[in-house]
Amino acid sequence: MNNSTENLIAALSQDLPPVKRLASPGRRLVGWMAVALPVSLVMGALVERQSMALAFERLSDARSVLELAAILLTALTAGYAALCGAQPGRAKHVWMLPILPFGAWLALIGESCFRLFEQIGPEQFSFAPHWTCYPSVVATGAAPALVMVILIRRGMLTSPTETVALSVLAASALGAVGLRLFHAPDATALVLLWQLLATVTFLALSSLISVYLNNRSATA
Amino acid sequence: MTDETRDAQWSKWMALAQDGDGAAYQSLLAAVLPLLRAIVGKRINDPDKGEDVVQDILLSLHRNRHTYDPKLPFRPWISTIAERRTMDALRKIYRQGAHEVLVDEYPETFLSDETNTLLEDDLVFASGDALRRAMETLPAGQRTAVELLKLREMSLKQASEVSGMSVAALKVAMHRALKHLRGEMAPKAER
Repeated sequence: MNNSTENLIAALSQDLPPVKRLASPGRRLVGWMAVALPVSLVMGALVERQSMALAFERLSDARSVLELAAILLTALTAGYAALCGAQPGRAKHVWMLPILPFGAWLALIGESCFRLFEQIGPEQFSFAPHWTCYPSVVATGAAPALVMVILIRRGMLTSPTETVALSVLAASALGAVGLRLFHAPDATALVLLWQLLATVTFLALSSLISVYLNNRSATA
Repeated sequence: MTDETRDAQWSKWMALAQDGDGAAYQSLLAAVLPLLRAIVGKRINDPDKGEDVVQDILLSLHRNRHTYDPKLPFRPWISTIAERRTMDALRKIYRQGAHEVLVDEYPETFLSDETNTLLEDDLVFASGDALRRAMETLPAGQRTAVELLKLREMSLKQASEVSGMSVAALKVAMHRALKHLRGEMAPKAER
């Protein structure tokens, strides 16, 4: 055995302190939802200055409930996949889990946009960003993103690009739950379309940043 | 020993190591070395660079030992870390290769003959052996500080976690080690 490797092993093994094991991705996911979802909902209600009445009204609409289910499932599956990605040795096929709910969410938004387009016509239909909605997007998305970052940092990034992308998707989706319940204008179409575009932009940016950080850490 | 029984043994050692069993940890690290060298050797042919990467993997494994779940097989966990660190090292090697030029002779720096004469006893870094010999004369704590902070390029915080020494103790050990090395490696005329 190489002398310096032997010395290193001896140094690492000497006075070895016990460590607290990382909880399973499922348990961390429950923790993420338990902390981030209530905070996101409260922040959404505060920023939008809404009572629970609007949320209950939305929850009584079957279409809204279907959308919420797709969004929540996207958040859960992407969150679980991201947390698996932060633990070496976990199977990588879990990365595919969010595809179906994310696709359903995307399809529902697309269908809503199409209906709105038919209803108001091309003159009124606009893809311009609704800047007044951005405080709500930030307020509802901050807690899910922050808690996810803390959970990811506790693990180890062996596939940073995929893990960061899945984390952003999960955080955006969980934030969208609050937006869907408390944003006063019916957020079915344009607001959620912009949230989606923001999510995709975040995904691309985070992937690029992660590749950059990854390259930097390799040279450090 | 079959792969399954070996994996079960490694998993057991790792679980014990997570609880603070240094002897089990030492056995585990020694046992996984051939696997790590095989993973690194598939991509890095230079044995010296390869051994550096193996040591990086050992440090990475140490820092992230809390991420192992004893209910899962051990080999995929360690292989993922090893593959990842090997790819990081390859990127570093390629990047350095793009900016460095190997030369047979050092370019002249000053006109006087003394500055352009490579004599092992006169030039501090003319030979890696001189540094290695000087390192061997260091007390254990100081040698650990030099290995972790300078050779492995770890931060004080990381080195503190790995060695169990406090940041202050590492700084003192490093300072004393450099002073000692300077004395050991100074040209004979200055001693």
